[in-house]
Amino acid sequence: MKRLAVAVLLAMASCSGEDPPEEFTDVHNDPANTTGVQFQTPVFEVAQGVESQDCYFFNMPDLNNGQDYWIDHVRLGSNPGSHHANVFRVKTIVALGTPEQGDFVDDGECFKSANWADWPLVVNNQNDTAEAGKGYFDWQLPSGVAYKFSPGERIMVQTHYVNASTQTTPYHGRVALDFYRSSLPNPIEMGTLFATQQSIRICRSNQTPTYHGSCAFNKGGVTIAAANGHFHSRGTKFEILKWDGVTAERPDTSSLFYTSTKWDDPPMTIYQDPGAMQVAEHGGVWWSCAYEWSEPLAEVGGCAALDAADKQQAGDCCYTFGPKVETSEHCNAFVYYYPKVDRTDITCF
Amino acid sequence: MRHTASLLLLAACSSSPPYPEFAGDPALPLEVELSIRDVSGGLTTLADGMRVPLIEAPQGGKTIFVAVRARNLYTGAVELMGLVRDGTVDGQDPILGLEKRPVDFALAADGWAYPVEPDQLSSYSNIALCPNYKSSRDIYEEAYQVTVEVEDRSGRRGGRALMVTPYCGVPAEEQSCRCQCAHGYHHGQCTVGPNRSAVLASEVWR
Repeated sequence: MKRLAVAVLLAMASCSGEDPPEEFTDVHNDPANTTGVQFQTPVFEVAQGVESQDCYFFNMPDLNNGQDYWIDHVRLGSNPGSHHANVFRVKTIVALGTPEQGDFVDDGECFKSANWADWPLVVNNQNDTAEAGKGYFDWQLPSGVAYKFSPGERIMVQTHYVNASTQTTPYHGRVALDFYRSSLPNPIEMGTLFATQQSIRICRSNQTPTYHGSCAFNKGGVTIAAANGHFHSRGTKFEILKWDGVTAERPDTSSLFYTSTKWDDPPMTIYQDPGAMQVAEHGGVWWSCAYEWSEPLAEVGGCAALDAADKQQAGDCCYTFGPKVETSEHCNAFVYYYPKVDRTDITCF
Repeated sequence: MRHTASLLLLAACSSSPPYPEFAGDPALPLEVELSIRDVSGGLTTLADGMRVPLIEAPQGGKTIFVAVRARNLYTGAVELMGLVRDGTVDGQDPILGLEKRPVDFALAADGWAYPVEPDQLSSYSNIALCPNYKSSRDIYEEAYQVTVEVEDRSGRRGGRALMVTPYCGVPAEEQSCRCQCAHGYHHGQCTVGPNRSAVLASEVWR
């Protein structure tokens, strides 16, 4: 087994909150994954009132004598308190340090959204249940479909833990990732589409805005395999629809394939009927994020904190785009599809 | 033509928003005029055939920012939809970028309605065109059709479509812009050298 970054289990004399119950176990790598790739973060504390955003990096090992290889099963687990765990390929790097500086970045450049332009998504997990064994997104890809990786390919595991008002980390943080090697002789390549509507404002004077975005696949004839959406606590409804790529109207409800009304537990929907999930030539997805403004909590600084963070200085108590759960909002769509075309995943702003 | 004067007029109104009210003549169709924002924040009225700057948005992506003023509509919350089509097939050719957003409009002294917060990027149509996975041509120095449609609370709709030629609007970002906006772009294709400090991960982390 290739262990790329064996977790350093820190002695946790004082964790984020209460002591875990006896039946609680941290998420961990799958001991049955003996031929694939494994990575897990250390166990780490998330102090009260803190949002912890970290990025861990590793290189994919050489599992195939220098040749590309395939992964057809992924398992991404998060201890409770995780806001999200995202795995990206890192194609180019900007101000992310040098090899001598290690494989870990706290906050900073790895959370700057502009960099997503060249960090194609691999897999994400928003599951943070404390129920034993349930904190994983465990996905056997559709039959005959697999991700392709190259030896040495740079991978980023982005973790975001919250121990504050809208979300809590009861024990401590950890993320564990398993990639399972495929034995398929000639699989169809899985691709990803990561789309984000970022120039958003949810303000006291306009409390229920809805923002829409669109993102087209580079070629037609693809099949959507899974999807999920991500926003914060002002989010009321996240929808993703199939879109023909030529009509400048929101598609009708027959095209709706994903809905989330729970910001803190959004579904990851896996589509079992490929025939119903095909996208036409020129097509893509249309997604929308609906919000309802709420008074920011005093413990995060109230409207004064939002106004201070507002680059436009509107003084309108606006939640703007950003990673902080308590004081900003997101509108991000994650879509998994096949076949990947022309060597690239898709990122839309 | 610069809209700065009109925007200043609006600023005088926006301390006490006079909406919702009707801007213009209810008997006339909704009328829209578009402007393009440059990298310094200046606005130029958009005309057919004009070159428009692609600017790296704060959120990432090379984007054109289209401002709107409108009349013959109810002010208050207005839906703006901005899109760019290939422009070679009337009405049914692929859309390369589309987004839709709510923007508050208020009546200004010149009889037009403007965004209440005219300086904010969120008051513009943010039409991201790059990275470019879709176009069969480069995005820059090629002609495309930009459209912005406006709908007020009553359902009155209007819009405008013009042919424009995007160009990389920030000299310091010319190289990365031309790479991200090129036909056939794929992840990992663009490195822009030491000044921008973007390098291929595979070159650094062998």
